[in-house]
Amino acid sequence: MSGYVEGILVILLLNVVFAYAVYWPLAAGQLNLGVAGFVGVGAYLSAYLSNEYGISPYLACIGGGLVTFVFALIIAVPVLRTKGIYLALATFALGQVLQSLFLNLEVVGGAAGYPVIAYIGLTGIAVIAVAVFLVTAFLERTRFGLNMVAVHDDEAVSDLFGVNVRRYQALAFAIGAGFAGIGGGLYGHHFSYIEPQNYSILFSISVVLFVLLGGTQTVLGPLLGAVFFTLLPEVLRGSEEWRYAIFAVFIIVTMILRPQGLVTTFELRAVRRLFGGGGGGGGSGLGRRAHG
Amino acid sequence: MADAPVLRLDGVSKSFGGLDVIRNLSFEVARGQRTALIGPNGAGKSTVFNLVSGVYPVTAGRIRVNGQDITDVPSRLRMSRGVSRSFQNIRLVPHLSVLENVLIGQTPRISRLAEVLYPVRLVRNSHWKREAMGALERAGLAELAGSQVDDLPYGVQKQIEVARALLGGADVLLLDEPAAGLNPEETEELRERLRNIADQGTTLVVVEHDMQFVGALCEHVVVLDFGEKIAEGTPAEVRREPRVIEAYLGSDAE
Repeated sequence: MSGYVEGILVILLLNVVFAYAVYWPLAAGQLNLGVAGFVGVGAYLSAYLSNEYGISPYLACIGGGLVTFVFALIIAVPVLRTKGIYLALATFALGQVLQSLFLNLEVVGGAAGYPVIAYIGLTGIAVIAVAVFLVTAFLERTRFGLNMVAVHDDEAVSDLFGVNVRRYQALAFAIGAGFAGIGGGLYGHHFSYIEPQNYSILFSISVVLFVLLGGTQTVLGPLLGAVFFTLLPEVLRGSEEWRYAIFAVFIIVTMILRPQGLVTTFELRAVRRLFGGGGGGGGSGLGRRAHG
Repeated sequence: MADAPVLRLDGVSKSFGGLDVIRNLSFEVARGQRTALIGPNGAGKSTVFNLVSGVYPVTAGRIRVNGQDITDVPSRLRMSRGVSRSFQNIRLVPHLSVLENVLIGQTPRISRLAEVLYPVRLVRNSHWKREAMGALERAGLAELAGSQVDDLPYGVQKQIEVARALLGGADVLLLDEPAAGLNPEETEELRERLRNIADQGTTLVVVEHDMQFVGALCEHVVVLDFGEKIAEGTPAEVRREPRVIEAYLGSDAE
């Protein structure tokens, strides 16, 4: 495999992990614009663990993800008191606070950045990215996932049917943050260097953008969004400096023509029918739709 | 507790700001009974449902289910204490299939982590799905199990709501205008279905404007006007009551 292809694959797999970090809160109806902050928490934590204590980089990444999960669960208590656009603003602010925290933490290099000694290659990233996808796909099929759709669509009714709405919202937020933390750890251990500038609002917005592009109705949407977002600029590479302009036009046109995203429940159902599934016991109705 | 009424309200009041919406309301619903809560628009019927299901806290008074005081129980836990309900405006989860909406009805009975993490949308023939399919079959909706709910006619969605509300294992089912917006044929079907549900032991409390429907379904009627109980009895009894006639038609003296 050429270095170029391998480089693209790594970016693609990392984007898949980040996509599910944004997908989980969206599945509960929350727009998290602070995902870069959680990516940074995971990146710094895991780098510190493997640099200073010499533990396996894989364990460091998973550990960093777990700590980010717990951190987000605590942060969720005040942050999730806000709703809608105010929640987006609160998470945006949280991302900014975390970024300036990294900038001022001298123990991990502050503005100068932090070198990461241990290395994780393509295979390791691929295994973890696939695991993140499978965990999401499984949870979405459980009663937990079913109740999450209910919470997304109608909080009052979910509550009356015994769903602890706040707990579900906090868990969606924290699971997303945990995946963000794992992704951050993988990024640091692959590129061997992290710096606060990586974890800006621009990063959060591009991930949200490609998840919405792919669609949040189904668990496959974020995957497709990540693939498009990573590969399309490469395909357009021939047109040199125009490729980002073309890419931007593509995104705008998609949002106009398909605000619900590229892949929805409808397409999945059609595919299932094609393969003779979908009948018997109402297995269809796969996934969910977002109201935006 | 077998002799305790399934639902009992004692001196329940509710004010919003300075406005008394429910005033000192007391009534009992016996086990297996089919009760109607009627009254002119704005009499407070839906508010009573919201108080019993815990959407709003009461200002005063106590609410008991199966003899247990549930006045301070959070809304989330009331279904497992025995009260289930449907809504005046349909409140199904629009992005789930019919079967999945009915599966939501089982949530009050779920407590263990293993049950929460059970892949109920993946396993084809689980006991949860079989139970939900059974509920759909009894409602005559089995062939719609895989449809998305927001594509279905209004009357069908109402039936799904009832099927969902029943699966929580509640003793008393509150139905807010179940016949509203249904054509005569659908109304007839619904009445038969509710009779069957009551015969199987679920106590029904219905808010309804269609007096013919009430007369044909219910054996007990509580009449509200401006948040107060003005009459109670069989449909025939309350129909003769002068205060009821006055509340619905206005008094002659004016």
